Parts: sequence; structure tokens; C-alpha cells
Amino acid sequence: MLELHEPKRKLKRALSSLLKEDQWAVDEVHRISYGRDSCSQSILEMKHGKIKHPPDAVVWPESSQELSSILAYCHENSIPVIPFGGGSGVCGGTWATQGGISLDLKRLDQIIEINVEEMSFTAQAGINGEVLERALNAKGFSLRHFPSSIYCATLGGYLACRSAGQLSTKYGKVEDLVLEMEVVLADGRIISLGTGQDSSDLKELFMGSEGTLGVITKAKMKMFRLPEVEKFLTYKFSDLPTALKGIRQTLQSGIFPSVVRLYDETDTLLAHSYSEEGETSCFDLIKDGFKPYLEKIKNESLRAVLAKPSLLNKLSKVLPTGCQLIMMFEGQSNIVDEEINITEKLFRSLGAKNLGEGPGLYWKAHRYSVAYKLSPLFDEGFFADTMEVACTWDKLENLYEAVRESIGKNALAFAHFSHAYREGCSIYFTFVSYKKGAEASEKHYAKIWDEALNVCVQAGGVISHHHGVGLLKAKYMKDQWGENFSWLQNIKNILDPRNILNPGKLGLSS
Amino acid sequence: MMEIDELSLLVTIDGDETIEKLNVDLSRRGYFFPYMTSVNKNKVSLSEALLNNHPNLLEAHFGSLKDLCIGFEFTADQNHFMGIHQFQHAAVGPSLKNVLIGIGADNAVFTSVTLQVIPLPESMEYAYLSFLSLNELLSFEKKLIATDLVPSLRSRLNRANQILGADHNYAFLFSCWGSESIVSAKLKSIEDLAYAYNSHLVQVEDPLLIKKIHKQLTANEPCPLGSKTEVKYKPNLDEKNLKAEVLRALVS
Repeated sequence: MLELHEPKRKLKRALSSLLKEDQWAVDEVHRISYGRDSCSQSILEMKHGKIKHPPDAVVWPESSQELSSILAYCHENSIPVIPFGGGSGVCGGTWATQGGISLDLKRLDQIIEINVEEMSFTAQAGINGEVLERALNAKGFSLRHFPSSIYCATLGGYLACRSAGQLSTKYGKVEDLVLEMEVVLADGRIISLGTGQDSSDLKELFMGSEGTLGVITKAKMKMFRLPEVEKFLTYKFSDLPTALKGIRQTLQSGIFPSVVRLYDETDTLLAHSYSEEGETSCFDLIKDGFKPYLEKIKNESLRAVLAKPSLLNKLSKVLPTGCQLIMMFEGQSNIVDEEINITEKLFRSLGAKNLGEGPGLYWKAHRYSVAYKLSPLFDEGFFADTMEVACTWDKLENLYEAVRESIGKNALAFAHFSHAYREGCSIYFTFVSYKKGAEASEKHYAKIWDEALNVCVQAGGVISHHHGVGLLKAKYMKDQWGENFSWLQNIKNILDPRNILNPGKLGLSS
Repeated sequence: MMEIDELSLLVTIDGDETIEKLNVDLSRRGYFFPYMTSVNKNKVSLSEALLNNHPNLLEAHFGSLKDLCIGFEFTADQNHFMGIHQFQHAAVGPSLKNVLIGIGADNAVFTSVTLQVIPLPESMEYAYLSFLSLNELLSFEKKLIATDLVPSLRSRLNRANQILGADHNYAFLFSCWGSESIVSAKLKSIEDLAYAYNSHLVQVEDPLLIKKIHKQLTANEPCPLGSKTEVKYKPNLDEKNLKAEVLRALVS
């Protein structure tokens, strides 16, 4: 049974003087709910009856000024504050490792302005991604930012973690879409960034800071008209290097599809082996798919297979599965047609086989379902997680091989390449494993991450493309940043000298 | 000294190199650095451009200097050196690279920079549309910004009938770069958009006129589309204070 210590009376008194009764809570249900996020480690620990990081209290400010008062009080009294959006993070970025206050921004959820002339809108940080998108769509516009977590994530969460949406190849990551931001600093000062058009861009300091340097409360963002057309291409390539060459040459010729998804041999094999009705993603196999799969070969057989993951991982390399690439193009009809003509000509010259629009349409219809179908796996005693790394094209194949080999020693591993740029691309690994018993599972999970992220840094990759760092990857930050990490620590010391903001995240110390 | 990574299309070069010289060297190898600044006509060094984050006239098509500068070696106060070579589209904390671009600090120098280059465009077309009134031109620009047709370079011109022999006084000058078929498709779509204003697209082929239009297109920073006034650069006081703290962190 979970045992939580009673929050200090002084804190309760302060909250009741700063906020209305329905704006704060110290009961166990709330504290347990906010003591976790969507990180697989959280899920594993919950399954094993552990809540390691509950806050002492949860608060719901309703304005930037209220939020500023809370921070000023916490700064004065050295109370940790953990900004909380939708709880969709997968890296332990909202764990209250030192207790304190979980600062939920979801009541800051208003769209303040839609400016058609500027093609921009301003909204508060706690607005939900899907709610925001639907409100824009109703007026014929869109943010064109579609992360898998869109149903639960918030605008502020996107910005604090440098989120990427599924259309990032055309529209960029969220940091490429922001024009202005309002941030509340640790001592309660409110600062507007980007409005003065100074030559420097200090928004870049807070985006990706995961609430360690300030709390993002409002943002002015770019918006786009809904596209005239959306069209899909699916091609099967003989091998991964040829397919990567196809993506690279497409982008470097100046053509930017909105979606690029290249599945490696294992992912392609799993996707094609499951459904006779059409193409499915690997996650569909794992979730919708693993249930019937489990029924067929029984849990014990799968556990036996996962006990020797390297055999399974090697199998896909020897079978002639090829690699499937999905691209979505959008915009003006005549321009999209020209882009597709040029791209198809290139793919044919690389010997790729056209599979039509079907797999792309199927992907679009199921693009969010993946993230919500992991729980059945945990129920069966397995665990699964995803790891997204990235680098420039010159290092990409080496990075893929190195990380895949590292994960593949310990788990069934497969990957897709998405979020492609002129200079590089991200690789999204998925892994599934099993160990009997809580302690062994948690140890095995930590080992997979530890080995793979070390390999990633050595191979010249970044340890996160869009999930962020949180606590899960915090200990690799010094290796990732090298000597420059001291600058980040100095900034932290200056902006948050009492280390109240999201302590321990990004590897920052007090 | 120039190093080119042909796979990622990245060039590493000394920070005191001028943009003009860089592009001359790159063009010999079939590449182009898609950055143009109206400040000192590209004779500015890369280090100076980065310190001041001069706007890129080609930003609508190729991105800002922050997007195009992938990494660098930086020194502040002569004894604080930093090398930033991390993949820029990462989620591993704040972007130190993008905080330093435009930092404008005294005694700071970018000693070496890594830049994104592109293959020389297959096609570069110059054209203009003329309008009866400034309001019509602005209204057209508002429509254009809502599409993904924004040209590589664009500018407005008064007295277009005298300077270019255009039908009307106010002209929207532009240039589209890229593969031939896509540039043609863009020109067609822009022309379609202008029909509502009784404006006809004039594609320019006379080299002298192209030179004149190119000069006009690169003379000033681009006006924000749809806006009647130039942007005034007034640093917000809080941002200024915060910038001072960032610099303090850098050298402490």
C-alpha cells in the first residue's frame, strides 16, 4: 500500500491564502495521479505498486498572475515546483523527485486571439492540443502540429519539450512554429519574449528547458490554411540504405513531403505479416495485434522468444522483406502533383516498387491509436518503450546499426525513420521485452536504456529528437553536451538560484 | 579552408569568410548557401551576420540564419571558447546555438561555422504583378501569405509603370527558385491568385530587367507580407536584461 507523508500545515495555509478552494489539493488521489506521467518506467512501477515521486500538493492557477504569485511564494520558501501539462510525457519530466507543488496549467486554456492577417494565433499554455486544433479548423486554419499525444498533450508541454508532430518534415518542429512567448521565472517575474524583435532569440532558452528555467504560460504561434489536397505515396525499397538515399535526395532537391515514414526490415516484416486487410503499423500488431497473436502462440511462447531477442532481430535481416516508405504530400494541387512526379521518378530510378496510396491512408486513419494500446502488453507482464534519436545523414546508418544492436541484445527491436530534414533524420526505435518479477523487469528496462543511450552518444547522435530528457535521460546530459553543459548549469543558477523549478530534470543540479 | 559533407550538405568554413566569397567558392562545386542580407550587400562576414542575426531575404523559402547555421566555434572575451556541433533538431534542453546567434556581444567572434548548403537551383524565374492601388497589392499579399506559394524573394515597387513599364503604378516583384516544373506550377498558381485583381503576371526574361528587379528584391529587408509599415526594431527591456544574464552565464 502506498504511504504518503502529510504535507506541511504551512504549505496548506499558504495555498488557501493564495488560491480558491477548488484550485489546490493535497489528498492522496491527486498526489498519486500527479506522481507519474506516461513514461514506461512509471507504468512498470505502478504495476508493481510503487509511486516513487508524488508531489505534496497539486495547484491549478487560472491566470499568469496567479501562477506568478505561486512561484514567488515557492521561491521565497524554497519549495519545488513541477510544471504539469497533460501528463503525456514519456521521460519522467513531471516526477516530483523532491516533493513540492505540481503546477497544473490546464485551466490556462484559452485561445486569446486568431489573427488572420498575420496567420497567427495566441493561446494560453494549458490548452489541449486537439481542442486547439479543432478550434482552428473551425475557422479554416491549422497549427499543422500533430504529435501522437495530441489528445492529452498541451501547447505549453509541446514547447517545454521541443515536441515534433507527424508533419514536421514540411512544417518543422514546434520551436519552428512559435513567434512569441510569455514565461514566468522562478521568482515570479513575468517576461514576454519575441515581441521586441531583438536580434537574439531568448525563446530558445525556454523551449526544451522542460520547466527547469521558467514556466511557459502563453504563446503566439504560426498557423496555416487547411491544405487544398493531401496525397500519399508508398514505396517498397530493397534495403534500408537505398530507401534512406531516396528520402535524402528528395529533401535535398527542395521537395518537402509533410510526412516521411520509413520502416526498417523488422517493422516492415511485422506490419505485413499481420493483416490481410491492409497495411498496419507495428504498434497495431503489438496492441490490437498482440492479443490475437498471444492467443495463437500463447504467452509462454512469446516470453521464450523474447528471452532470445537477438535471434528474432536477426531473422528480419535474412528474410527478403525490404523496407516500406510512406510519404504524404499536401498543399496546392498542381504543386503537389509536380512534387509527386519528381519523387516517383527518383524512387523508380532507385528500383523501388509502388504500393499505391493504401498503406498511407491506413497509417493516417490509425496514426494516434498506437500510444494508447501499450497497456495490454504491460498487463501480460511484458514491457515496451520507444527511443527517438537523431543525427546528420553522414552518421545515420551507423547510428541506426549501433543502437539497434544495443537494444537488440536485450529486447525485440524495430525502428522507423521519420522527421527528416535536409541535413539529417530521426530514428524511432520501439522495443518489447519480458523479465519475470518486478525487480528483474525494472533492472532490465534500465539496462536497455543505459546501454543504448551510451552507444547513441558515442555514435554522434542526440539522445532525444522530440520526447525530451526528463529524469529518464538526465544522467546522459553531460556526455551529450560536453563542456557546454556548464553554461546550462550557470544559466540555471542565475535564473533559479534556489533550484525550485523542476529539480533534477535535464541533469541540472542545485 | 572549406570542408564539405556531401551527404548532409554541410559546409564548415572560417567565420571571417564573407557570404559573397563563400557563394563564389560553392558555385564552383554546384552548391549555394541560401542566405542573402541587405546589410552591406553580402560583403559582411559570416561571424558578423551571426552575431547580429541579419534577416535572410530568402527566409520564406530556405529558413532563417538560425535554421541554416548548424554549428560553430565561438569565443567570448577572448578566453571562453565553445564548440557547438549537436544535431540542431534535438530535444535535449535549450538550444545554445540559437541563443548565441544574434547575441550581439562585444568581443565575441564565431571563429568557424558549419552551414547548410543546397544544390544550385535548376530554375530561377523573375516576375512581377502590377496593381492599381497599394490597397489592392496589400490585399493580394494577404491572400498569398495564406498559401504555400510564398516566393523565394519578394518586394514591393512604387512607380512600377515608369521603372518597369508595368501597366500600373504598384508592383509586387518576386522570384521563384527550384526545380523547373515546380517553379512553373508556382508561377501559374500565383497568376491564378492575381486574376481576382485584374493583374496579369509578367515573367521577365530580359537580362537587364532581371538585373534591375534582382537589385530591387535584395535592396531592403522584406516587408512583412500584408503590412503597410516596416518593422521597427525595439528590444524589449526585459529581454535585454535577460540577455545580459545569458551573457553573464556564458563567461562565468
